[in-house]
Amino acid sequence: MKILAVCGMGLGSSLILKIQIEKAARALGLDARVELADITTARSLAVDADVIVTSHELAERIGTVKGKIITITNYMDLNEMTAKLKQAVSPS
Amino acid sequence: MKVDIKQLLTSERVATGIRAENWEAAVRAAGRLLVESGGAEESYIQGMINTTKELGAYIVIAPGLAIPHSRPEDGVIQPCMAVAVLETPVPFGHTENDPVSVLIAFGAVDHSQHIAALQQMAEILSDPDNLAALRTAKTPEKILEIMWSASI
Repeated sequence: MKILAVCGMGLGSSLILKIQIEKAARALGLDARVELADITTARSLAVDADVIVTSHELAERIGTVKGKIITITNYMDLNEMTAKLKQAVSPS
Repeated sequence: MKVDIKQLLTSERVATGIRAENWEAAVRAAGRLLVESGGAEESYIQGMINTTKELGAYIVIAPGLAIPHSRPEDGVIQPCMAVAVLETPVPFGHTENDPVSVLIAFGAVDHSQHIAALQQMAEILSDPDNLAALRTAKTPEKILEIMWSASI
C-alpha cells in the first residue's frame, strides 16, 4: 500500500512522520511504501494513496481525497501512530 | 550525502533559559542561534516566522516541542539545527501540544542532507524521558548530552 506523509514544505515534519509510519507499519506487518508531500502537492500525490498521514492543522487544507486521512497529535508517540494506522487499514 | 546531527547541531547552536514573550520572539531566539553560527542568513528568521503564520501551528509536533523551519531559498547557508529551551513556555496556537518550551529550529539546503540528523532527532525524542529532560535542561551542555546521544 502507499502511505503519504504530508507537511507544510515536505522538509521537516513529514520526514519525522515517515520514520514513525515505517516503524508502525513494520509492527503491524504492513507492506507499506511511504512517500512525502508538501501541502501544495499533497492533493495530486494523494490520488493513489491508501492512507494520508498529517497534522490536524493541515488535514483541512488537503480536503477530500480517496484515501483515509489520519491526523497525528504527538509525532514522537509511536503508540498513537500505530493505533491510528491500524484503525485506518482495518476493513470498516 | 547524509550528515550526522553533531555537524548540524554544533555546540554554539544550543541555549537554555531563553526569555521570550511570545512565539515569534521564541522563533527569533532559536533563529538567532542559526544566524550567528553561520548556518543561515538573517532573512531566514523572518522566513520561519512567515512560514509559521502561513501554515499554522502544525510545527508543534509533540507536547511542548516546536520545530520552526522554512524553505532553503529563504537563506540557508548550510544544513543546520539549533535547540532553544525557554525559561517560560509560550503558546503557539496548537490545540493540544501548547505551550511550547523547546524549539528545534533547522535549515535544509535540499531534501536529503539533513535527513539523517532529523532521523536522529526523532529517535532521541521519541523516548519521553529524553523529551522531558530537554524541557527542563538548564545548561547548553545538558542539551548536547541528550541530543548527541544517538550520533552515528
